[in-house]
Amino acid sequence: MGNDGKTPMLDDLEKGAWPSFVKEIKVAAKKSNTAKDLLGILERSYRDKVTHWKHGGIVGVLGYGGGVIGRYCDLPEEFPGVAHFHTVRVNPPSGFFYTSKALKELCDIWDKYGSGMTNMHGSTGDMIWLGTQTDKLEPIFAEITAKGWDLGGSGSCLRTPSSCVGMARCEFANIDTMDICHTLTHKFQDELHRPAFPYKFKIKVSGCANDCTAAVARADMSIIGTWRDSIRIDQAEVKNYSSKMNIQEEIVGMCPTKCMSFDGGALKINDKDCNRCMHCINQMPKALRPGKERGATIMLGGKAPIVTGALMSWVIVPFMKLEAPYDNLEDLIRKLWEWWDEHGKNRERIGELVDRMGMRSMLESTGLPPVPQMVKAPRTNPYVFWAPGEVK
Amino acid sequence: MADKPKRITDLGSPDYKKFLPPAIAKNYGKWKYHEQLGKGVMKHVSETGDELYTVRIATPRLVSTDYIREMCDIAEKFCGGFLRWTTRHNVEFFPAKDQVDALTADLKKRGHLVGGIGYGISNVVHTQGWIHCHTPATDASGVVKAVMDELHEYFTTKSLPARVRIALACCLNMCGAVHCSDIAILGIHRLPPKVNEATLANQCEIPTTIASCPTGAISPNPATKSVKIKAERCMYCGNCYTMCPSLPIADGSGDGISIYVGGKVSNARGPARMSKLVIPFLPNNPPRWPETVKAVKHLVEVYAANAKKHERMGEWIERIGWERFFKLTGIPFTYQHIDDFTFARDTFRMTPTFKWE
Amino acid sequence: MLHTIRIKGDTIMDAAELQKKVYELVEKNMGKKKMKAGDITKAMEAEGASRDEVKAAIRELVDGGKLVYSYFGGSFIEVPHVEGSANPQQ
Ligand code: HEM
Ligand code: HEM
Ligand code: SF4
Ligand code: SF4
Ligand code: SF4
Ligand code: SF4
Repeated sequence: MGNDGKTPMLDDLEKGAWPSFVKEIKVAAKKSNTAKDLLGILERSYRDKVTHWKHGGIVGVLGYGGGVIGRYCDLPEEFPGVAHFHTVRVNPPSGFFYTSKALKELCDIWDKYGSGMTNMHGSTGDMIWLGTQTDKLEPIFAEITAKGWDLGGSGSCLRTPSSCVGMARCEFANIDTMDICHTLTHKFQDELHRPAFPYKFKIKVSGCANDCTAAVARADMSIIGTWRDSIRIDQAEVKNYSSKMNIQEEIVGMCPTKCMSFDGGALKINDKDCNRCMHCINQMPKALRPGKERGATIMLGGKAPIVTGALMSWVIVPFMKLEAPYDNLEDLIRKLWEWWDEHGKNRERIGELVDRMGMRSMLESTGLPPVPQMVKAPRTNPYVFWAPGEVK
Repeated sequence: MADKPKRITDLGSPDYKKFLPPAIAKNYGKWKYHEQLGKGVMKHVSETGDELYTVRIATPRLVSTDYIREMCDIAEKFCGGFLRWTTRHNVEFFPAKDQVDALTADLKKRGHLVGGIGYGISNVVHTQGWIHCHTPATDASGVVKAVMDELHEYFTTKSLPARVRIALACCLNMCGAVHCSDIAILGIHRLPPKVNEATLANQCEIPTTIASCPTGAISPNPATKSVKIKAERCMYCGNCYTMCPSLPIADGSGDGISIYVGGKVSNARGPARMSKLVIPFLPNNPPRWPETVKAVKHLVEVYAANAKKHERMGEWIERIGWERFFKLTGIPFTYQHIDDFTFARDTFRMTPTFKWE
Repeated sequence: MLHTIRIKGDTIMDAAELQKKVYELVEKNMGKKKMKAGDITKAMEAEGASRDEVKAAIRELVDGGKLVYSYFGGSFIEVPHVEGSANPQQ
């Protein structure tokens, strides 16, 4: 069966209320043969129920080990426009705010060299440009850098850090997530572009325990804002809310630490018992605000299933003050990398290394003290190891 | 090397401060509270008394440059050319108060879906699928489109007891890290890669191909100058195919979709948790994946009918118990539901206290 | 750029020589073992070079196009070549 230009299955996905990616490819196909053949090969996948892409491992721009994902199709004669179909990852600004001028400049560059199709954004947070050829990579790189943009990370390196919107538009932010993300991206340019780690390393920054970047699930280092003092209460506003919601049931009754009480007049919180879960603040943002002594909990180890199963990050620093230029955080990250570089096997994420070597090795080499906030409960098994010096 | 022009490298991310709308730059870090004014509009109020309005729409994530230009034009018309993308592939505009209605009307007229804020279903975080990746077990954009064509009202108008976050990853590499979603749609392979002995010697480095397998399932096959795969060790990661194009893992009838539920990343009321398997396999049935659409819709509806206000899907299930969940949804419980990998024991019930229905 | 002279035992190694050694190590292993930056660093440390010097040597070689980074589920450093996937004869 040749490439007859017909796409009945995809055409069906132009119907319906939800915005259609097929419409988008068709728009791009008016200008680009790459997009046209993307439509054709995708229709073929819909018919065959298999992918038609092969991995390309050594395409990229000079000097960088990341930022480009190589792709070739397995039907190049039928679909020459996508014989090469490499992806370019462009590092976005923190918080994904843009001006129309900057975006339009980027669109012009991409239309000139690529399919005109993009992902806004990929799951790591990069702007993703889908579909170009090897010989276009250097010209694309030259044009985006001339406009002040750079590639993001891919490979065994620091991946493009990302953050929630934080202080730019969220009253819950306990730390300046966007600035932390931006500053770390700049401190670690070498680690981002020149892969030297055992495997990938992701950093995500969320301003509170709502964790809008899903840092706990998908970052090796999850930086999550929190506070140490008391929730600020505006009792007049509590009163206003009490006419709109059942505070006893929806707030007090659902507080996981049972540290609140409400007598119909004033709302009381026993802050020593509060674990800062955010539930009450989410529901009554006008009445309740995080405290004033703010910082972040640093967690380590989150990752998707490959190889030994998915992990969620766990606490390694219960509270860290984070103020520009965040040297304390940089210092900790560099120490962690050193330990991982020293002991990590090929394709071993840092969380898996902690699993294999134990928390103690990591804590000793980074100088972090063991504290109860690190565990749900102390161990139950009696296989306790003592270091030689500890037994006197 | 001296004869080459100087290339610019290591610029990193552009300075976000250049891109902040003036109202945000001025009130950065000073926001006091917000109010939801509808499914697609919210208002933030600053300590300075300033107000910021946000209007949110859904995008298909996979968009053309012309789509981005349209967004830019809208931003120029209504909010000084400033706009923002969210982590869930929505676009946000920041109109002045007296422009909110005009903007919303304009967006609707152009066919965009305004919504995604508050208790309902926001946009679906998803991966590449057949659009670009070499290891997918299903498509991504097509499944999302089919599911959301059915559920779009939860984005624009209808409410649910709490947020329902849906995510899709097209293989177990889980680029979208879907494993902490209320409903996770996950592509799965069920057959190990096929060895193409005719091309392997030409296309692949045998030692590095063997080394690429995380589980050590691949061994040399000197007789055919190729490799063998021990089927029972393979967990279908596709890494060998990454290394060696003569080991394709995709299979039209072996591949399909599984569904996990009850995860979340927020810590409100209880810690973040992973999603759990409820439907081990549904076939790939493009272009509309009717089995998957029906299953997701059913899960949302059973949840909506039974959960208490503010209860996320996982919290609801934990309250009623998994045994009742399977009863209520009518989903059959099978061998596949019982974990047999590294963390299996943690999932076994170590008490005789449970419910019957 | 770094032009340190290293002395280990009685061998003297300058930056150019370290680059040559790095290149040879990668070339020798092509097709047998994909070398990671970490593998190269450990091998060269054993020859007396420091971590930063190896890093600089790799960077010079890669910036000059003599070696390239590759990505096959993990990142490696290789001599540039045409890869199997790019080969249309499949
Ligand atoms: C260790 C497991 C993983 C492997 C082997 C893996 C592999 C890949 C591959 C092969 C691609 C290329 C897809 C394409 O053709 O464009 C890709 C894309 C991508 N991956 Fe992963 N991935 C893994 C985990 C993750 C995780 C946990 C995240 C997110 C936190 C992530 C984020 C991304 C992003 C942003 C892309 C670009 C395309 C997209 O967003 O869908 N990956 N990954
Ligand atoms: C009521 C106050 C809240 C505000 C102002 C807020 C704000 C935001 C914003 C601005 C985003 C990014 C926009 C988007 O992704 O569409 C977001 C995403 C998100 N929020 Fe919230 N949020 C709030 C509460 C919550 C709560 C209570 C939860 C969980 C129960 C939550 C969980 C999430 C998640 C999971 C994401 C998406 C992360 C992802 O991309 O996967 N948020 N939130
Ligand atoms: S993580 Fe917290 S601070 Fe950041 S956007 Fe979400 S609710 Fe706001
Ligand atoms: S933040 Fe959570 S634990 Fe603290 S008082 Fe509010 S609901 Fe209770
Ligand atoms: S989830 Fe798997 S198939 Fe999908 S883009 Fe990621 S690696 Fe590719
Ligand atoms: S798919 Fe993964 S586990 Fe299976 S043989 Fe290939 S590399 Fe090994």
